[in-house]
Amino acid sequence: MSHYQQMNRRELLKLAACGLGGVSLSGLHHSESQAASQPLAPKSPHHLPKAKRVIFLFMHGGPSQVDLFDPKPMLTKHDGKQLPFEPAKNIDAVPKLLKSPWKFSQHGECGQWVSELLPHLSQHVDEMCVVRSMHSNGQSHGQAVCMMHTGSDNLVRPSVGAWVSYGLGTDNPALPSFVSLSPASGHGGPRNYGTAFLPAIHQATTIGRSGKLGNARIQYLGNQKITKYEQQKQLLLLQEINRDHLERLQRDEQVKGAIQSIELAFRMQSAAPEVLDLAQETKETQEMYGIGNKTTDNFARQCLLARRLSEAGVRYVEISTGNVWDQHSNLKKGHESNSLKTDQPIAALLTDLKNRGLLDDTLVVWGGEFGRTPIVQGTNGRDHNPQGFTIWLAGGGIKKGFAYGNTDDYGYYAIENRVHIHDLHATMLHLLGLDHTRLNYRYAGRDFRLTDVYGNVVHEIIA
Amino acid sequence: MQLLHLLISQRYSRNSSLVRAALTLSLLLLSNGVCVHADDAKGIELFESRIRPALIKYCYECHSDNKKEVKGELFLDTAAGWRKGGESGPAIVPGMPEKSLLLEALRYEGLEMPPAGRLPKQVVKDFERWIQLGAVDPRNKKSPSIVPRVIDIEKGRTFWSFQPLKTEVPNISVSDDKSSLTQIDRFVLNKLKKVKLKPAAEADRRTLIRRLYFDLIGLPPQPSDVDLFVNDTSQDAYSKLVDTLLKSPQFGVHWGRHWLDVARYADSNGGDFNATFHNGWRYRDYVVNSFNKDKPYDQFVREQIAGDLLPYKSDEQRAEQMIATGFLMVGTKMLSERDKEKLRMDVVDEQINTVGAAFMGMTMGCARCHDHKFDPIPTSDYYAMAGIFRSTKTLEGESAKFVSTWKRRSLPARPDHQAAVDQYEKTKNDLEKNISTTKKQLREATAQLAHISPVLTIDDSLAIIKGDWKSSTLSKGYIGKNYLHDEQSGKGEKSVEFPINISTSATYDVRVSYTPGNNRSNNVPVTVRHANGESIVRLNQQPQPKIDNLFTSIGQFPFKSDQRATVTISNRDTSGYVIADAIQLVQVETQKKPVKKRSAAEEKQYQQTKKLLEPIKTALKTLEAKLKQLSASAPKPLPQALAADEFSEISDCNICVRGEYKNKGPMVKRSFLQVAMTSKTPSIGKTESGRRQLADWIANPKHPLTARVIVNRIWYHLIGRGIVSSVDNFGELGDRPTHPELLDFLAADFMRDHWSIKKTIRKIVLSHSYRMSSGHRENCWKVDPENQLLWRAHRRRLPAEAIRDSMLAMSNQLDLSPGKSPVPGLGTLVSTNSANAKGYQRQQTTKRSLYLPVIRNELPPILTLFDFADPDMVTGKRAVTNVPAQALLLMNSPFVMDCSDHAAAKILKAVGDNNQNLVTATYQLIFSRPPTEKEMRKGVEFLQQQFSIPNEKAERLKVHKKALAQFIHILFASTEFRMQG
Repeated sequence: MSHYQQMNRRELLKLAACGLGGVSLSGLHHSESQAASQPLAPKSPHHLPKAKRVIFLFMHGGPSQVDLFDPKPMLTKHDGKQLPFEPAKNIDAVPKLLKSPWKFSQHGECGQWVSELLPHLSQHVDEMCVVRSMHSNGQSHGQAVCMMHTGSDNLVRPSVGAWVSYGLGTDNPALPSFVSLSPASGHGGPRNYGTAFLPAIHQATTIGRSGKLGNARIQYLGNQKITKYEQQKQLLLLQEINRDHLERLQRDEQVKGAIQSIELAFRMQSAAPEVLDLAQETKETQEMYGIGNKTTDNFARQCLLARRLSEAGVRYVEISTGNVWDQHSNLKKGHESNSLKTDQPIAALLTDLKNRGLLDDTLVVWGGEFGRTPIVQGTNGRDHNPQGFTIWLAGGGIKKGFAYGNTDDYGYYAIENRVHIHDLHATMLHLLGLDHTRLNYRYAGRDFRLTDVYGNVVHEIIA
Repeated sequence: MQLLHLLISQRYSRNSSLVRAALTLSLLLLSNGVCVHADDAKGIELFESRIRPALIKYCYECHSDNKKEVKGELFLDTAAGWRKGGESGPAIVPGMPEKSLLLEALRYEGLEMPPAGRLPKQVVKDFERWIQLGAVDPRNKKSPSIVPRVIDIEKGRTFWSFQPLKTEVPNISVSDDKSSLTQIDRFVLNKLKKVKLKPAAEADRRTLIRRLYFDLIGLPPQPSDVDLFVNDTSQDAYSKLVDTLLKSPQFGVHWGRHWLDVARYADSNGGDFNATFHNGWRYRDYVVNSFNKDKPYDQFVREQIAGDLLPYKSDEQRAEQMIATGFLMVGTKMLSERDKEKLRMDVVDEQINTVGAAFMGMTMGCARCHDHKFDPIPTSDYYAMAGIFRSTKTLEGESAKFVSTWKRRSLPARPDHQAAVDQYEKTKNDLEKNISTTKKQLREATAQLAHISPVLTIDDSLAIIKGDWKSSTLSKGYIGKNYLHDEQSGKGEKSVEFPINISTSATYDVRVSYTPGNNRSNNVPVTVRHANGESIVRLNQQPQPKIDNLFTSIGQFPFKSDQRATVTISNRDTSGYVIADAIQLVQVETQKKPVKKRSAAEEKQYQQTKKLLEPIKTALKTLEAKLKQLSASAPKPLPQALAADEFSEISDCNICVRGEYKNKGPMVKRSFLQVAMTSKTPSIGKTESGRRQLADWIANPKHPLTARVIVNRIWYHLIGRGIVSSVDNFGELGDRPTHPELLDFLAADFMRDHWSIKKTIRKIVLSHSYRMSSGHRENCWKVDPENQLLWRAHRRRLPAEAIRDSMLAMSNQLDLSPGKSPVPGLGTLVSTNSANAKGYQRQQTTKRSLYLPVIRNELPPILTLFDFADPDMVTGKRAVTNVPAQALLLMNSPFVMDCSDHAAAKILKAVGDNNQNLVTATYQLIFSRPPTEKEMRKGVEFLQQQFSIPNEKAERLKVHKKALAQFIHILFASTEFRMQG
């Protein structure tokens, strides 16, 4: 407080009037009137939305469908035998079947099968819709991860979150519209949360990296070198100099925009740390997520942070596990460890969203860039499998306790009610009130959209 | 009908397949309901009972007339529909199931239909049978006709940008003509007069010098430069300044960067596999030098497309031209795509897009899948050019399994360098060959010996694995199918235990296999549980293993056949990667105990073999020592470039229907855009890609786009708005020129000036239109708010580089020397390709921003936040955004604060601690002008009130410096600093 005591009354009043530096947020009204000219201002969707925001839980590396959600008795029965049909091209695995080392059982009223790897999540199956017939392009991570995030396995395209931000804007101008928690640096890296040709403002703000939240800071948010008081004094003079500049120029949208963005920056600087502060949660909540437990702590923090960000108005939040699901060998160890790390936090996220009444209009999507082969790689691993895999969705307009689509008897190829990543994207946009064929952006001589010329809304999984 | 049948079959009876086709044709005609053959009856029955219901159930949703948008332009609700077929051609070849696209799609071979899932096997069989029977289809309704939009090239040519340049200079008389007006100004004035607007007066000198500095060299003027210019009363003060700046080597740094934006230049691949472009910087320097030398632009174009194919007079020229083709190479690619033909076509696509946009302002990508919807570019034009790039070698080899890498070409070197390297390579090869032969001898001899003294090898696949080990095959030289590494994580939690079962109790030499490397741990604990207890040995996994490059011995230990023994590799207390691959036990003979009872004959053989070993070992040692010595004195490696080459097989390219390479349409002869041809069909030989001809066509003075596009780019960089505002798009969806005559005048003059960039720049900056004030005038603003007609100068935000470089320059930190390779220390990848990698670690440098490494996916925030060009795409015009993150960076980044500190020290040293002097000096340094009275008052107030000033002089200085640094910091973050008036 000592710095504030040094300020005289006149200065304090001036600061308050500017709405700068956390002293006051009274400047908000001012900015709301300007919202129309701002690219992140909330926009009307194409139709009545069922979901207002998205939390995407990205299981990077490719979790195995036949070991988590898609039990295959034939696979167990013919363990060690030859796959009776052709495997996919360009893979390392040999066509020898490898059964799941885990037991499956039915859960919930809906009777959804879940393996013993996910004891917490299996208690939520009545909230979930499991899609067992996903398929995608890209036999390697780079292609498939980009496909999942941008709808293209080869070309540079905007990410899903960027499209959503572009389509809907954000409700809270003091926070970014799109946040990506601990995104990977490889496999496309920033392309997966980037904007390509969309305006740069729609790019995700990132916190942490490569599956690790780190100190959970937004870059350059806050200054370690000078005191708050000193910075507030700087800001006062800065904006005065800027306003004088604008006055001299008489009319300049650039300069006007810059002045506004400086103001918004400092609103963010005061609002964001509070949202990022997990200590504001009760001990019970923290424990429910698994914070403090060595195994679950990292992912639990990410899940809880995702909830806080969503609650505060962030439109699209992605959480990434880091590339941990890629069990070319040691399937058992790897999947066990990954499940232990993520099962409880994700279950807690669903509970928490539900308790707060947020699940109804928050679309939760869980999935990897592909699944894994039911045939063996090395002695105890599985290779990549974009030919058929499982994701699940919950909340915002999704059918509850529902399973959709099927793979073949061994869980290799999606054969029934196949859902391509383009279809998933179309469906996600649909739930958010956006028509994927109408959410366009004109660039380099053509109108681009997330689903390119593909994609069908999967109405069957919508409540 | 019968007659027709006969006629056809007689005429073509020599060719049986044609006969079949003819028969089919006649059957087809018959099936239209005239008379019915016996087979047709079966066919109709099958159609009605199975096929029609299946079509209705599975296909009509997307392929029938009552849908708004029919998919793939294919109708399956009439016979005529499938006969004509969709975009991929006829869907069914009656009688030939194997040639019918429809069946291929139903079988999910290539196209996958229906997309929601495969049809039941029986249904697919029904279709097969029905097609076999001639695909009799009684639905004789006319197929609704989709009128395909046929591109009319002739009509396309009437579009303004495809019209030849109007080289006649229109006679423009402006009544209030002044001698100071240049030709450019007359064009501008003429337009303004039409709406009764007047151009602004010339800007003041301080504004002008700042504008010129930033526009020509991307740096701010020093306060002393400003003073000199302001006080220079000579007539040619301005043109002198222009000429000085055009001659500065910093000119190429600034203008080269403009081109690098267009060339989507980067020092790494980005995408899925962020491989380092170790030689990319040579292309960067080529561009900078070309601008500094004022290389004629037509030559610049030719070199970048076909430099490797051009004649040369010297090795330097050869090298320069080869490096120039880096333009085709530096795009981002999905290197790990496992479908290599797909990758190849994607690379071709990237090159076509870049060449199209960069040189011609054409968006060609659209034509990959279908005729361009807006511009006169048919798909065939795209594949005519695709043939050229598909016959060009961009990728070559793999850097890891499934991961492609790019073509590298040796550059000509100095003769002495070349000779030294040749000599070295020869000696080295001989030595290596020698070593390899000797090693083979040794191996054979050892194997014979080993036959007698047993060797036990245990691979990781037999080991007991604890913790999360990652299986890998990336580094070569491992035992078995793979090796394991600990991902450099979970230290202390992971171990690999190799169980040992020996049949003979004896002393064994224990050897450990690993794949070495600099990032390996140098103190891996290896625990050996043997007959006498436990021993822990620390193993350094960085050097090459000594035994056969596979194993390193960790000592000799006794083992008993009836006792459990193990060797365990752990990652406890280690840093770096720990490798676990295999261990080997080699029985050691001791005097006490011979290895095995050998027969006399065996013993004799053993001793003989053993004797043979010694001289081989000695010879090997000598050879290896020699090689080591030789390597130590190796000459510098010959320079290499990221450069294109001709592909070994040259061919035209098929049209890929819908852009899908598996879906082959007709072959297209290699050629260029029909709408902009400068002569008739180019003659491209059978043994050349056609890049040379492509380059000649683009650089042809008659090409309607090339000169227009580049002078428009220059105009845009100097004026702030292109005559064609969409600088990369001169097509239908692009903007129309605001001053078409001016554009043509500039383009024609440019070519007359031998395609000189510098002369064009000089011409523009000397014009009044460039020198105008940017001041606001309400009456003009009301008529032309966007200032399209140039009634004043456009105000522009500085590019990211100028923001960073200015701060460095103003704080006396900027290093103006050119950079070399920005990525010298990086490996194949900029950082490990795991999502757990920390990412690329940036080195600090105070060189100009152009020399910062452009690592895709890892660009410096100060550049990206201020709209640095995304190196993944062609960027002729950078976005200008105002986002809060910019303000956060300016106010909180250590870099800006550090520059403020340095600048404060510099100013204090120069003018002492008088607050007024400090404020004046600060304004002059940062804004190139003195403060106004109000600014002076505010500045002094800020410096004074910031702190209570202590009495001690040393303390006072410190406090002063801090206050001043904070004041400078404010100006760095201000709107005036980032704007160019």
